[in-house]
Amino acid sequence: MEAGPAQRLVKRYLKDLRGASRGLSRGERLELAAQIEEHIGAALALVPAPSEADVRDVLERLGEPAEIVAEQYGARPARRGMGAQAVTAIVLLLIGGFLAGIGSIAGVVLLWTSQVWTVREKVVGTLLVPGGLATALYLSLLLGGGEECGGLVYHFSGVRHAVSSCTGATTTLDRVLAIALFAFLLLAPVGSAIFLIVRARPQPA
Amino acid sequence: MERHEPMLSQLRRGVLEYCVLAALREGERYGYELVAQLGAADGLLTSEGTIYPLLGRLRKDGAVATTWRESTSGPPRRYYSLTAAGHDTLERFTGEWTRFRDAVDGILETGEGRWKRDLRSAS
Repeated sequence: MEAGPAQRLVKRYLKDLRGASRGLSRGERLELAAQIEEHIGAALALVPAPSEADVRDVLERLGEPAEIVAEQYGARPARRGMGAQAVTAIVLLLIGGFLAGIGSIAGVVLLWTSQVWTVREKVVGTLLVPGGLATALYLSLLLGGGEECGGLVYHFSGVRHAVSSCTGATTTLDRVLAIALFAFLLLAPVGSAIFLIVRARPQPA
Repeated sequence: MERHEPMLSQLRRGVLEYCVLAALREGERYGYELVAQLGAADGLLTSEGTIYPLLGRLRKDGAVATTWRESTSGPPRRYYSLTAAGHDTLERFTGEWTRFRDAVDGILETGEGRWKRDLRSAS
């Protein structure tokens, strides 16, 4: 296909398709885009020198992107599946740990009883990170005390280091690892929350 | 005769996926081929693109498998083929469809269905 108006038509069509399929899961969206792109390529490969009218004809026969997406989901236009339960689950997973830990547990229960995530996504939401942001806070208080020798210190650099650093004179390595862990504990729950928002699938009608 | 699109669309929604399976019974097809094949059947496809979400779902359900093949023109194409589960589904549908079609035909012909005729001839 020649570059120019014809190619622009195809580009715009694929862009509309991406917009229309926003309510689908990422996998479905990518698969659909690849299928449609392949269809257009195959259809135009049959025409020796496809004109703008040829392209228009191929796209018209494909149908409106919104129509293609709606067919799979009935007459209802696809939309994000973030109901009240899903939103509450994400909020509680993130900051519920500050509510004496009970909030986190409620978050996990809401997460697992929700319909908008797959089991794998729920596992990610549960494991990253139990207690949410509160875990980072509690752990930083624990490590920041300096005098204490939390069991975690052993894991950072092995028993060898941990024994000598137990009284508070932590090594540089321990310090670096502690900061890295803290950053992870801070970022992972946020990343996990974003992941759950992105992966929430359209709610059943 | 002009087609009644809302009516047709309802019917199509129920049977299109089985028609896709049937179209793959003879062997694997790539998307455009499949669309051309189904498009040749009157009233079965309005927008060709609607086949693709359907193929995606059938693949996810395990009725259809995809493989990539080199093509003489352009990038590799994904070919769709029927799995064993797909064959089973198609066979089951074919049986159900035959009974269903006969039942509907019966109602349409007499307005009351065959059961009443059977009832009358029984008494």
